[in-house]
Amino acid sequence: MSRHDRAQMTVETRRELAAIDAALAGEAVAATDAPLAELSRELQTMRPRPTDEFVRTLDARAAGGFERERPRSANEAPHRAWGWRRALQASPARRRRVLLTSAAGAAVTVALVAVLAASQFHSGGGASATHSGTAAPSVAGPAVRGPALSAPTRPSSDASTARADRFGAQTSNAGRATGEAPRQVERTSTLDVGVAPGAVESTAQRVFTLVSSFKGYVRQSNVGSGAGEGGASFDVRLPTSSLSAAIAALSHLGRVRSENDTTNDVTDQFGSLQRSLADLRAERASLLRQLAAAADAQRAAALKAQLHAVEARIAQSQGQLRSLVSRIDYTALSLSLTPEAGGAATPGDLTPGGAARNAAQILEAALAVVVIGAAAVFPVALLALAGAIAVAVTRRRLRERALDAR
Amino acid sequence: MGTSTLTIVAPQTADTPQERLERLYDACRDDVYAYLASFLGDAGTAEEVTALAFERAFRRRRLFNPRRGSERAWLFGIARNAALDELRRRRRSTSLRGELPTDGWGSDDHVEDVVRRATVRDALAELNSRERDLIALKFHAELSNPDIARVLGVSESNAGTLLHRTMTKLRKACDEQA
Repeated sequence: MSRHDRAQMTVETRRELAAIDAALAGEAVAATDAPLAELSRELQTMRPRPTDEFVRTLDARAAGGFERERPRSANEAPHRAWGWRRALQASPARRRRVLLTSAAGAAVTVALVAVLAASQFHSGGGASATHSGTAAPSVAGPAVRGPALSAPTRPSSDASTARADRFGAQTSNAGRATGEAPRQVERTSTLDVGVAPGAVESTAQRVFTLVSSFKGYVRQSNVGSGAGEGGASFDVRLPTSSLSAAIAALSHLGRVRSENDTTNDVTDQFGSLQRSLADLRAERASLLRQLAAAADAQRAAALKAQLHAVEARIAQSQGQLRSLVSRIDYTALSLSLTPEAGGAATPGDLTPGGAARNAAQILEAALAVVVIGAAAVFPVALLALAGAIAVAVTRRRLRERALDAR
Repeated sequence: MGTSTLTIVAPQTADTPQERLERLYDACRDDVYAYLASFLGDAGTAEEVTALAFERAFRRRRLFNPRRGSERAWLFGIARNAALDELRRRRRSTSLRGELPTDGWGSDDHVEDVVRRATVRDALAELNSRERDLIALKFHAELSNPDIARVLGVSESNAGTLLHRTMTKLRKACDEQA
Protein backbone atom coordinates (compact mmCIF):
# COMPACT_ATOMS: atom_id res chain seq x y z
CA MET A 1 0.00 0.00 0.00
CA SER A 2 1.43 3.36 -0.99
CA ARG A 3 1.90 6.31 1.31
CA HIS A 4 -0.82 8.09 -0.63
CA ASP A 5 -3.28 5.25 0.11
CA ARG A 6 -2.40 5.30 3.79
CA ALA A 7 -2.98 9.04 3.86
CA GLN A 8 -6.37 8.54 2.14
CA MET A 9 -7.30 5.90 4.68
CA THR A 10 -6.38 8.15 7.57
CA VAL A 11 -8.58 10.89 6.21
CA GLU A 12 -11.49 8.47 5.81
CA THR A 13 -10.93 7.03 9.27
CA ARG A 14 -10.96 10.47 10.83
CA ARG A 15 -14.10 11.46 8.95
CA GLU A 16 -15.96 8.31 10.05
CA LEU A 17 -14.81 8.61 13.65
CA ALA A 18 -16.05 12.20 13.65
CA ALA A 19 -19.36 10.98 12.20
CA ILE A 20 -19.70 8.43 15.02
CA ASP A 21 -19.06 11.08 17.65
CA ALA A 22 -21.53 13.42 15.97
CA ALA A 23 -24.19 10.70 15.86
CA LEU A 24 -23.69 9.89 19.54
CA ALA A 25 -24.00 13.58 20.37
CA GLY A 26 -27.26 13.76 18.40
CA GLU A 27 -25.82 15.99 15.72
CA ALA A 28 -26.46 15.79 11.98
CA VAL A 29 -24.00 13.90 9.75
CA ALA A 30 -23.28 13.91 6.02
CA ALA A 31 -25.47 11.70 3.83
CA THR A 32 -22.53 9.36 3.04
CA ASP A 33 -22.13 8.62 6.74
CA ALA A 34 -25.85 8.13 7.46
CA PRO A 35 -25.69 4.28 7.71
CA LEU A 36 -22.73 4.52 10.08
CA ALA A 37 -24.55 7.08 12.19
CA GLU A 38 -27.66 4.88 12.29
CA LEU A 39 -25.61 1.89 13.44
CA SER A 40 -23.93 4.03 16.10
CA ARG A 41 -27.28 5.19 17.44
CA GLU A 42 -28.59 1.61 17.39
CA LEU A 43 -25.58 0.45 19.43
CA GLN A 44 -26.19 3.30 21.83
CA THR A 45 -29.81 2.27 22.38
CA MET A 46 -28.67 -1.30 23.19
CA ARG A 47 -26.76 0.01 26.20
CA PRO A 48 -27.60 -2.22 29.22
CA ARG A 49 -29.21 -0.49 32.20
CA PRO A 50 -28.83 -1.48 35.85
CA THR A 51 -31.90 -2.56 37.80
CA ASP A 52 -33.31 -0.22 40.45
CA GLU A 53 -32.57 -2.78 43.16
CA PHE A 54 -28.90 -3.00 42.15
CA VAL A 55 -28.60 0.79 42.01
CA ARG A 56 -30.04 1.07 45.52
CA THR A 57 -27.65 -1.57 46.86
CA LEU A 58 -24.63 0.00 45.18
CA ASP A 59 -25.54 3.49 46.38
CA ALA A 60 -25.78 2.18 49.92
CA ARG A 61 -22.34 0.60 49.61
CA ALA A 62 -20.94 3.81 48.14
CA ALA A 63 -22.38 5.76 51.06
CA GLY A 64 -20.46 3.38 53.33
CA GLY A 65 -17.25 4.04 51.44
CA PHE A 66 -17.30 0.53 49.94
CA GLU A 67 -16.01 -0.96 53.15
CA ARG A 68 -15.86 -4.73 53.17
CA GLU A 69 -18.71 -6.44 54.99
CA ARG A 70 -18.25 -6.32 58.76
CA PRO A 71 -20.51 -6.59 61.81
CA ARG A 72 -22.62 -3.55 62.57
CA SER A 73 -24.58 -2.84 65.67
CA ALA A 74 -28.28 -2.31 65.17
CA ASN A 75 -28.16 1.47 65.58
CA GLU A 76 -25.18 2.09 63.32
CA ALA A 77 -26.22 3.63 60.04
CA PRO A 78 -24.47 2.40 56.90
CA HIS A 79 -23.50 5.91 55.81
CA ARG A 80 -21.75 6.70 59.06
CA ALA A 81 -18.29 5.63 57.90
CA TRP A 82 -18.37 8.20 55.14
CA GLY A 83 -18.88 11.13 57.48
CA TRP A 84 -16.37 9.68 59.91
CA ARG A 85 -13.75 9.54 57.20
CA ARG A 86 -14.51 13.05 56.07
CA ALA A 87 -13.97 14.28 59.61
CA LEU A 88 -10.65 12.46 59.67
CA GLN A 89 -9.52 14.20 56.56
CA ALA A 90 -10.38 17.55 58.04
CA SER A 91 -8.57 17.01 61.34
CA PRO A 92 -4.80 16.37 61.43
CA ALA A 93 -4.98 15.35 65.09
CA ARG A 94 -7.55 12.70 64.34
CA ARG A 95 -5.61 11.60 61.33
CA ARG A 96 -2.55 11.07 63.53
CA ARG A 97 -4.72 9.05 65.89
CA VAL A 98 -5.89 6.89 63.01
CA LEU A 99 -2.31 6.40 61.85
CA LEU A 100 -1.34 5.30 65.35
CA THR A 101 -4.30 2.95 65.47
CA SER A 102 -3.37 1.57 62.07
CA ALA A 103 0.22 1.07 63.19
CA ALA A 104 -1.02 -0.70 66.30
CA GLY A 105 -3.29 -2.82 64.14
CA ALA A 106 -0.36 -3.71 61.89
CA ALA A 107 1.72 -4.63 64.92
CA VAL A 108 -1.09 -6.81 66.24
CA THR A 109 -1.38 -8.48 62.84
CA VAL A 110 2.36 -9.18 62.81
CA ALA A 111 2.08 -10.53 66.33
CA LEU A 112 -0.85 -12.72 65.31
CA VAL A 113 1.17 -14.13 62.42
CA ALA A 114 4.07 -14.69 64.78
CA VAL A 115 1.82 -16.48 67.27
CA LEU A 116 0.44 -18.69 64.52
CA ALA A 117 3.98 -19.42 63.34
CA ALA A 118 5.11 -20.12 66.89
CA SER A 119 2.19 -22.46 67.53
CA GLN A 120 3.14 -24.30 64.34
CA PHE A 121 6.68 -24.76 65.69
CA HIS A 122 5.47 -25.83 69.14
CA SER A 123 2.85 -28.33 67.99
CA GLY A 124 4.70 -29.76 65.02
CA GLY A 125 2.53 -28.09 62.42
CA GLY A 126 -0.84 -29.55 63.42
CA ALA A 127 -3.56 -28.94 65.96
CA SER A 128 -2.45 -29.17 69.57
CA ALA A 129 -2.89 -32.21 71.78
CA THR A 130 -5.72 -30.55 73.66
CA HIS A 131 -7.96 -31.43 70.70
CA SER A 132 -7.80 -35.17 71.21
CA GLY A 133 -10.84 -37.07 72.35
CA THR A 134 -12.92 -34.03 73.18
CA ALA A 135 -15.03 -33.69 70.08
CA ALA A 136 -18.66 -32.90 70.67
CA PRO A 137 -21.45 -34.74 68.84
CA SER A 138 -21.67 -34.04 65.17
CA VAL A 139 -23.24 -30.81 64.04
CA ALA A 140 -25.84 -31.69 61.48
CA GLY A 141 -24.73 -30.73 58.00
CA PRO A 142 -27.07 -29.14 55.49
CA ALA A 143 -29.32 -31.30 53.39
CA VAL A 144 -27.79 -32.48 50.15
CA ARG A 145 -29.35 -33.34 46.84
CA GLY A 146 -28.38 -36.23 44.63
CA PRO A 147 -25.44 -38.53 45.31
CA ALA A 148 -23.87 -36.95 48.36
CA LEU A 149 -20.84 -37.89 50.37
CA SER A 150 -21.04 -36.86 54.00
CA ALA A 151 -17.80 -36.95 55.94
CA PRO A 152 -18.26 -38.15 59.52
CA THR A 153 -17.44 -35.86 62.40
CA ARG A 154 -14.13 -36.91 63.84
CA PRO A 155 -12.07 -36.12 66.90
CA SER A 156 -10.09 -33.01 66.24
CA SER A 157 -6.63 -34.14 67.32
CA ASP A 158 -5.61 -34.69 63.74
CA ALA A 159 -8.02 -32.18 62.29
CA SER A 160 -5.59 -30.05 60.35
CA THR A 161 -3.54 -32.82 58.79
CA ALA A 162 -6.54 -35.02 58.06
CA ARG A 163 -8.36 -32.08 56.48
CA ALA A 164 -5.42 -31.25 54.24
CA ASP A 165 -5.08 -34.87 53.15
CA ARG A 166 -8.77 -35.27 52.43
CA PHE A 167 -9.08 -32.15 50.30
CA GLY A 168 -5.80 -32.97 48.59
CA ALA A 169 -7.06 -36.45 47.75
CA GLN A 170 -10.29 -35.06 46.34
CA THR A 171 -8.42 -32.64 44.17
CA SER A 172 -6.11 -35.31 42.82
CA ASN A 173 -9.01 -37.68 42.20
CA ALA A 174 -10.74 -34.99 40.23
CA GLY A 175 -7.54 -34.37 38.35
CA ARG A 176 -7.26 -38.04 37.39
CA ALA A 177 -10.72 -38.06 35.87
CA THR A 178 -9.42 -36.55 32.69
CA GLY A 179 -10.88 -36.80 29.23
CA GLU A 180 -14.28 -35.47 30.30
CA ALA A 181 -15.61 -32.16 31.54
CA PRO A 182 -14.44 -31.39 35.10
CA ARG A 183 -16.76 -32.55 37.87
CA GLN A 184 -18.81 -29.76 39.44
CA VAL A 185 -18.96 -30.20 43.20
CA GLU A 186 -20.90 -28.15 45.72
CA ARG A 187 -19.53 -28.16 49.27
CA THR A 188 -20.89 -27.18 52.64
CA SER A 189 -19.02 -27.24 55.95
CA THR A 190 -19.69 -26.67 59.60
CA LEU A 191 -17.07 -25.84 62.21
CA ASP A 192 -17.57 -25.41 65.94
CA VAL A 193 -14.66 -23.81 67.79
CA GLY A 194 -14.44 -23.52 71.56
CA VAL A 195 -13.01 -20.24 72.88
CA ALA A 196 -12.51 -18.74 76.33
CA PRO A 197 -15.74 -17.03 77.56
CA GLY A 198 -14.14 -13.59 77.65
CA ALA A 199 -12.63 -13.89 74.21
CA VAL A 200 -15.74 -14.39 72.09
CA GLU A 201 -15.97 -10.83 70.81
CA SER A 202 -12.28 -10.44 70.03
CA THR A 203 -12.24 -13.85 68.33
CA ALA A 204 -15.32 -12.85 66.33
CA GLN A 205 -13.43 -9.83 65.03
CA ARG A 206 -10.59 -12.13 64.04
CA VAL A 207 -13.03 -14.28 62.10
CA PHE A 208 -13.87 -11.33 59.86
CA THR A 209 -10.20 -10.56 59.27
CA LEU A 210 -9.38 -14.17 58.42
CA VAL A 211 -12.38 -14.65 56.16
CA SER A 212 -11.55 -11.44 54.32
CA SER A 213 -7.91 -12.46 53.90
CA PHE A 214 -9.05 -15.63 52.13
CA LYS A 215 -11.24 -13.50 49.81
CA GLY A 216 -14.40 -14.80 51.40
CA TYR A 217 -17.20 -12.89 53.05
CA VAL A 218 -19.48 -13.17 56.04
CA ARG A 219 -23.07 -13.44 54.90
CA GLN A 220 -24.64 -13.31 58.34
CA SER A 221 -23.26 -13.08 61.83
CA ASN A 222 -24.59 -13.16 65.34
CA VAL A 223 -22.32 -12.29 68.24
CA GLY A 224 -23.75 -12.58 71.75
CA SER A 225 -22.10 -10.52 74.43
CA GLY A 226 -24.27 -11.14 77.49
CA ALA A 227 -22.66 -12.51 80.64
CA GLY A 228 -22.77 -16.28 80.51
CA GLU A 229 -24.68 -16.23 77.26
CA GLY A 230 -21.80 -15.47 74.92
CA GLY A 231 -21.20 -17.26 71.70
CA ALA A 232 -21.14 -16.37 68.06
CA SER A 233 -22.30 -17.88 64.83
CA PHE A 234 -21.35 -16.96 61.29
CA ASP A 235 -22.69 -17.87 57.89
CA VAL A 236 -19.52 -17.61 55.81
CA ARG A 237 -18.85 -18.00 52.09
CA LEU A 238 -15.32 -19.02 51.19
CA PRO A 239 -13.74 -19.60 47.77
CA THR A 240 -13.72 -23.38 47.39
CA SER A 241 -10.13 -23.26 46.15
CA SER A 242 -8.92 -21.91 49.50
CA LEU A 243 -11.39 -23.74 51.76
CA SER A 244 -8.94 -26.13 53.41
CA ALA A 245 -6.45 -23.34 54.18
CA ALA A 246 -9.23 -21.09 55.52
CA ILE A 247 -10.67 -23.79 57.79
CA ALA A 248 -7.16 -24.63 59.05
CA ALA A 249 -6.65 -20.95 59.93
CA LEU A 250 -10.07 -20.67 61.58
CA SER A 251 -9.37 -23.83 63.59
CA HIS A 252 -6.47 -22.01 65.25
CA LEU A 253 -8.86 -19.49 66.81
CA GLY A 254 -9.51 -21.97 69.60
CA ARG A 255 -10.20 -25.64 70.26
CA VAL A 256 -12.06 -27.46 67.48
CA ARG A 257 -15.13 -29.05 69.04
CA SER A 258 -16.61 -30.53 65.90
CA GLU A 259 -16.31 -30.29 62.17
CA ASN A 260 -18.41 -31.57 59.31
CA ASP A 261 -17.89 -31.40 55.57
CA THR A 262 -20.43 -32.34 52.94
CA THR A 263 -19.91 -32.60 49.19
CA ASN A 264 -22.56 -32.81 46.54
CA ASP A 265 -21.75 -33.61 42.92
CA VAL A 266 -23.89 -31.31 40.76
CA THR A 267 -22.26 -32.05 37.41
CA ASP A 268 -25.48 -33.51 35.98
CA GLN A 269 -27.57 -30.56 37.14
CA PHE A 270 -24.97 -28.15 35.74
CA GLY A 271 -24.88 -29.91 32.36
CA SER A 272 -28.66 -30.08 32.23
CA LEU A 273 -28.96 -26.33 32.82
CA GLN A 274 -26.36 -25.58 30.17
CA ARG A 275 -28.15 -27.78 27.62
CA SER A 276 -31.48 -26.22 28.50
CA LEU A 277 -30.01 -22.75 27.99
CA ALA A 278 -28.54 -23.74 24.62
CA ASP A 279 -31.91 -25.14 23.50
CA LEU A 280 -33.69 -21.96 24.53
CA ARG A 281 -31.19 -19.81 22.65
CA ALA A 282 -31.68 -21.92 19.55
CA GLU A 283 -35.44 -21.53 19.94
CA ARG A 284 -35.05 -17.76 20.22
CA ALA A 285 -32.93 -17.64 17.07
CA SER A 286 -35.57 -19.64 15.22
CA LEU A 287 -38.34 -17.31 16.41
CA LEU A 288 -36.35 -14.28 15.31
CA ARG A 289 -35.96 -15.73 11.85
CA GLN A 290 -39.69 -16.41 11.68
CA LEU A 291 -40.42 -12.91 12.89
CA ALA A 292 -38.25 -11.42 10.18
CA ALA A 293 -40.21 -13.36 7.59
CA ALA A 294 -43.66 -12.76 9.12
CA ALA A 295 -46.11 -11.54 6.49
CA ASP A 296 -49.01 -10.22 8.56
CA ALA A 297 -49.30 -8.27 11.80
CA GLN A 298 -51.25 -10.99 13.63
CA ARG A 299 -48.54 -13.57 13.01
CA ALA A 300 -45.85 -11.06 14.05
CA ALA A 301 -47.69 -10.30 17.29
CA ALA A 302 -47.95 -14.00 18.10
CA LEU A 303 -44.24 -14.50 17.43
CA LYS A 304 -43.35 -11.53 19.61
CA ALA A 305 -45.36 -13.02 22.45
CA GLN A 306 -43.48 -16.32 22.04
CA LEU A 307 -40.17 -14.44 21.96
CA HIS A 308 -41.07 -12.69 25.18
CA ALA A 309 -41.80 -16.02 26.87
CA VAL A 310 -38.55 -17.58 25.62
CA GLU A 311 -36.55 -14.55 26.80
CA ALA A 312 -38.09 -14.95 30.25
CA ARG A 313 -37.16 -18.64 30.34
CA ILE A 314 -33.61 -17.81 29.21
CA ALA A 315 -33.30 -15.27 32.02
CA GLN A 316 -34.63 -17.83 34.50
CA SER A 317 -32.17 -20.53 33.34
CA GLN A 318 -29.30 -18.06 33.43
CA GLY A 319 -30.24 -17.14 36.99
CA GLN A 320 -30.34 -20.80 38.04
CA LEU A 321 -26.99 -21.47 36.38
CA ARG A 322 -25.46 -18.39 37.97
CA SER A 323 -26.70 -19.45 41.37
CA LEU A 324 -25.30 -22.95 40.91
CA VAL A 325 -21.92 -21.61 39.76
CA SER A 326 -21.84 -19.36 42.79
CA ARG A 327 -22.48 -22.35 45.07
CA ILE A 328 -19.72 -24.32 43.32
CA ASP A 329 -17.18 -21.52 43.53
CA TYR A 330 -18.02 -20.53 47.09
CA THR A 331 -18.42 -23.05 49.91
CA ALA A 332 -20.95 -22.27 52.64
CA LEU A 333 -19.32 -22.57 56.04
CA SER A 334 -21.42 -22.47 59.19
CA LEU A 335 -18.98 -21.37 61.89
CA SER A 336 -19.79 -21.32 65.61
CA LEU A 337 -17.73 -19.91 68.44
CA THR A 338 -18.77 -21.62 71.69
CA PRO A 339 -17.58 -20.32 75.07
CA GLU A 340 -15.78 -22.96 77.10
CA ALA A 341 -15.10 -22.25 80.75
CA GLY A 342 -12.46 -24.97 81.09
CA GLY A 343 -10.81 -24.31 77.78
CA ALA A 344 -7.04 -24.51 77.52
CA ALA A 345 -4.95 -21.48 76.67
CA THR A 346 -5.48 -20.55 73.05
CA PRO A 347 -4.67 -17.52 70.97
CA GLY A 348 -8.15 -16.26 71.81
CA ASP A 349 -7.85 -16.90 75.55
CA LEU A 350 -7.88 -13.61 77.47
CA THR A 351 -7.51 -15.05 80.96
CA PRO A 352 -4.35 -13.79 82.75
CA GLY A 353 -2.57 -17.14 82.40
CA GLY A 354 -3.50 -17.58 78.78
CA ALA A 355 -2.60 -14.00 77.95
CA ALA A 356 0.80 -14.41 79.58
CA ARG A 357 1.49 -17.56 77.61
CA ASN A 358 0.40 -15.85 74.41
CA ALA A 359 2.60 -12.85 75.19
CA ALA A 360 5.61 -15.09 75.70
CA GLN A 361 4.92 -16.83 72.43
CA ILE A 362 4.55 -13.50 70.66
CA LEU A 363 7.86 -12.22 72.00
CA GLU A 364 9.63 -15.45 71.14
CA ALA A 365 8.28 -15.56 67.61
CA ALA A 366 8.74 -11.82 67.04
CA LEU A 367 12.40 -12.10 68.06
CA ALA A 368 12.90 -14.99 65.67
CA VAL A 369 11.21 -13.04 62.88
CA VAL A 370 13.44 -9.99 63.49
CA VAL A 371 16.66 -12.03 63.45
CA ILE A 372 15.73 -13.95 60.34
CA GLY A 373 14.38 -10.84 58.65
CA ALA A 374 17.57 -8.86 59.32
CA ALA A 375 19.69 -11.58 57.73
CA ALA A 376 17.46 -11.88 54.71
CA VAL A 377 16.38 -8.28 54.13
CA PHE A 378 18.69 -7.34 51.26
CA PRO A 379 18.28 -10.36 49.00
CA VAL A 380 14.61 -10.46 49.85
CA ALA A 381 14.20 -6.80 48.92
CA LEU A 382 15.90 -7.41 45.59
CA LEU A 383 13.83 -10.50 44.96
CA ALA A 384 10.67 -8.62 45.93
CA LEU A 385 11.44 -5.83 43.48
CA ALA A 386 12.14 -8.28 40.65
CA GLY A 387 9.07 -10.26 41.66
CA ALA A 388 6.84 -7.19 41.69
CA ILE A 389 7.91 -6.27 38.17
CA ALA A 390 7.46 -9.85 36.97
CA VAL A 391 4.04 -10.09 38.62
CA ALA A 392 2.89 -6.82 37.05
CA VAL A 393 3.98 -7.91 33.58
CA THR A 394 2.62 -11.44 33.96
CA ARG A 395 -0.69 -10.24 35.35
CA ARG A 396 -1.20 -7.94 32.41
CA ARG A 397 -0.38 -10.72 29.96
CA LEU A 398 -2.67 -13.20 31.71
CA ARG A 399 -5.53 -10.71 31.72
CA GLU A 400 -5.16 -10.04 28.04
CA ARG A 401 -4.89 -13.77 27.39
CA ALA A 402 -8.20 -14.28 29.19
CA LEU A 403 -9.73 -11.95 26.64
CA ASP A 404 -8.17 -13.83 23.72
CA ALA A 405 -9.27 -17.22 25.05
CA ARG A 406 -12.88 -16.15 25.42
CA MET B 1 -9.75 44.68 45.12
CA GLY B 2 -7.84 41.66 46.43
CA THR B 3 -10.86 39.67 47.60
CA SER B 4 -11.57 38.09 44.20
CA THR B 5 -8.27 36.13 44.31
CA LEU B 6 -9.29 34.37 47.51
CA THR B 7 -12.63 33.17 46.15
CA ILE B 8 -10.98 31.48 43.16
CA VAL B 9 -8.38 29.39 44.98
CA ALA B 10 -10.33 27.99 47.93
CA PRO B 11 -12.78 25.50 46.32
CA GLN B 12 -10.13 23.68 44.23
CA THR B 13 -7.68 23.04 47.05
CA ALA B 14 -10.47 21.70 49.30
CA ASP B 15 -11.12 18.84 46.86
CA THR B 16 -10.09 15.62 48.58
CA PRO B 17 -9.62 12.29 46.77
CA GLN B 18 -12.72 11.05 48.60
CA GLU B 19 -14.87 13.90 47.28
CA ARG B 20 -13.49 13.50 43.76
CA LEU B 21 -14.34 9.83 43.86
CA GLU B 22 -17.85 10.53 45.14
CA ARG B 23 -18.41 12.75 42.13
CA LEU B 24 -16.86 10.17 39.82
CA TYR B 25 -19.15 7.51 41.25
CA ASP B 26 -22.25 9.65 40.67
CA ALA B 27 -21.19 10.41 37.10
CA CYS B 28 -20.02 6.94 36.05
CA ARG B 29 -22.08 4.39 37.99
CA ASP B 30 -24.46 3.52 35.16
CA ASP B 31 -21.70 3.77 32.53
CA VAL B 32 -19.50 1.29 34.38
CA TYR B 33 -22.40 -1.13 34.71
CA ALA B 34 -23.34 -0.74 31.04
CA TYR B 35 -19.76 -1.39 29.95
CA LEU B 36 -19.35 -4.45 32.15
CA ALA B 37 -22.75 -5.92 31.28
CA SER B 38 -21.90 -5.53 27.62
CA PHE B 39 -18.34 -6.81 28.02
CA LEU B 40 -19.15 -9.80 30.23
CA GLY B 41 -22.54 -10.58 28.66
CA ASP B 42 -24.16 -11.43 31.95
CA ALA B 43 -26.16 -8.98 34.07
CA GLY B 44 -25.60 -10.73 37.40
CA THR B 45 -21.85 -11.01 36.95
CA ALA B 46 -21.75 -7.40 35.74
CA GLU B 47 -23.39 -6.29 39.00
CA GLU B 48 -20.80 -8.14 41.07
CA VAL B 49 -17.89 -6.81 39.03
CA THR B 50 -19.28 -3.25 39.08
CA ALA B 51 -19.34 -3.34 42.87
CA LEU B 52 -15.85 -4.85 42.90
CA ALA B 53 -14.53 -2.18 40.52
CA PHE B 54 -15.82 0.68 42.68
CA GLU B 55 -14.52 -1.05 45.79
CA ARG B 56 -11.06 -1.18 44.20
CA ALA B 57 -11.33 2.42 43.05
CA PHE B 58 -12.28 3.57 46.56
CA ARG B 59 -9.36 1.63 48.00
CA ARG B 60 -6.89 3.09 45.49
CA ARG B 61 -8.32 6.60 45.27
CA ARG B 62 -5.11 8.17 46.57
CA LEU B 63 -3.04 6.47 43.85
CA PHE B 64 -4.79 8.33 41.03
CA ASN B 65 -2.34 10.45 39.06
CA PRO B 66 -3.98 13.10 36.83
CA ARG B 67 -0.85 13.24 34.64
CA ARG B 68 -1.50 9.67 33.49
CA GLY B 69 -5.00 10.31 32.15
CA SER B 70 -8.50 11.36 33.18
CA GLU B 71 -10.28 10.01 36.24
CA ARG B 72 -12.82 8.39 33.96
CA ALA B 73 -10.13 6.47 32.06
CA TRP B 74 -8.54 5.47 35.38
CA LEU B 75 -11.86 4.12 36.67
CA PHE B 76 -12.62 2.18 33.49
CA GLY B 77 -9.09 0.74 33.55
CA ILE B 78 -9.87 -0.64 37.00
CA ALA B 79 -13.25 -1.93 35.82
CA ARG B 80 -11.72 -3.64 32.79
CA ASN B 81 -9.02 -5.31 34.91
CA ALA B 82 -11.69 -6.53 37.33
CA ALA B 83 -13.68 -7.95 34.42
CA LEU B 84 -10.61 -9.68 32.98
CA ASP B 85 -9.87 -11.16 36.42
CA GLU B 86 -13.44 -12.45 36.52
CA LEU B 87 -13.04 -13.99 33.06
CA ARG B 88 -9.86 -15.72 34.18
CA ARG B 89 -11.57 -17.02 37.31
CA ARG B 90 -14.51 -18.33 35.30
CA ARG B 91 -12.16 -19.96 32.82
CA ARG B 92 -10.49 -21.86 35.67
CA SER B 93 -13.78 -23.14 37.08
CA THR B 94 -16.79 -22.79 34.86
CA SER B 95 -17.86 -20.44 32.14
CA LEU B 96 -20.99 -18.68 31.05
CA ARG B 97 -21.51 -17.76 27.43
CA GLY B 98 -21.20 -14.02 27.04
CA GLU B 99 -24.14 -12.33 25.35
CA LEU B 100 -25.43 -8.78 25.48
CA PRO B 101 -28.13 -8.69 28.19
CA THR B 102 -31.54 -7.75 26.82
CA ASP B 103 -34.53 -6.09 28.45
CA GLY B 104 -36.80 -8.20 26.28
CA TRP B 105 -39.16 -7.05 23.56
CA GLY B 106 -41.74 -4.45 24.33
CA SER B 107 -45.23 -4.91 22.93
CA ASP B 108 -44.97 -1.40 21.43
CA ASP B 109 -41.79 -2.20 19.50
CA HIS B 110 -42.15 -2.19 15.74
CA VAL B 111 -41.26 -5.38 13.96
CA GLU B 112 -38.58 -3.49 12.03
CA ASP B 113 -36.99 -2.32 15.27
CA VAL B 114 -37.02 -5.80 16.74
CA VAL B 115 -35.50 -7.34 13.63
CA ARG B 116 -32.89 -4.58 13.25
CA ARG B 117 -31.85 -4.92 16.89
CA ALA B 118 -31.62 -8.69 16.55
CA THR B 119 -29.52 -8.22 13.42
CA VAL B 120 -27.08 -5.93 15.24
CA ARG B 121 -27.02 -8.32 18.17
CA ASP B 122 -26.16 -11.26 15.90
CA ALA B 123 -23.54 -9.15 14.11
CA LEU B 124 -21.98 -8.27 17.46
CA ALA B 125 -21.73 -11.97 18.26
CA GLU B 126 -19.51 -12.37 15.20
CA LEU B 127 -16.95 -9.93 16.59
CA ASN B 128 -14.08 -11.23 18.70
CA SER B 129 -13.73 -10.33 22.37
CA ARG B 130 -11.35 -7.43 21.78
CA GLU B 131 -13.68 -5.89 19.23
CA ARG B 132 -16.70 -6.29 21.52
CA ASP B 133 -14.63 -4.70 24.28
CA LEU B 134 -14.00 -1.71 22.03
CA ILE B 135 -17.69 -1.41 21.13
CA ALA B 136 -18.65 -1.56 24.81
CA LEU B 137 -16.12 1.14 25.73
CA LYS B 138 -17.29 3.46 22.95
CA PHE B 139 -21.06 3.03 22.88
CA HIS B 140 -22.00 1.72 26.33
CA ALA B 141 -19.33 3.29 28.55
CA GLU B 142 -19.48 6.35 26.29
CA LEU B 143 -15.75 7.00 26.56
CA SER B 144 -13.93 9.43 24.30
CA ASN B 145 -11.28 8.03 21.98
CA PRO B 146 -8.37 9.37 24.12
CA ASP B 147 -9.91 7.69 27.18
CA ILE B 148 -10.36 4.41 25.28
CA ALA B 149 -6.69 4.60 24.29
CA ARG B 150 -5.75 5.11 27.93
CA VAL B 151 -7.87 2.15 29.12
CA LEU B 152 -6.47 -0.19 26.47
CA GLY B 153 -2.90 1.03 26.84
CA VAL B 154 -2.51 2.02 23.19
CA SER B 155 -1.94 5.30 21.38
CA GLU B 156 -4.90 7.52 20.53
CA SER B 157 -4.46 7.05 16.79
CA ASN B 158 -4.21 3.29 17.29
CA ALA B 159 -7.45 3.32 19.29
CA GLY B 160 -9.16 5.31 16.52
CA THR B 161 -7.94 2.91 13.84
CA LEU B 162 -9.07 -0.11 15.86
CA LEU B 163 -12.49 1.43 16.37
CA HIS B 164 -12.80 2.24 12.69
CA ARG B 165 -11.88 -1.30 11.67
CA THR B 166 -14.31 -2.75 14.18
CA MET B 167 -17.17 -0.56 12.96
CA THR B 168 -16.38 -1.50 9.35
CA LYS B 169 -16.48 -5.19 10.26
CA LEU B 170 -19.70 -4.72 12.22
CA ARG B 171 -21.39 -2.93 9.30
CA LYS B 172 -20.34 -5.71 6.98
CA ALA B 173 -21.68 -8.33 9.38
CA CYS B 174 -24.98 -6.42 9.66
CA ASP B 175 -25.30 -6.30 5.88
CA GLU B 176 -24.69 -10.05 5.67
CA GLN B 177 -27.22 -10.76 8.44
CA ALA B 178 -29.82 -8.62 6.69
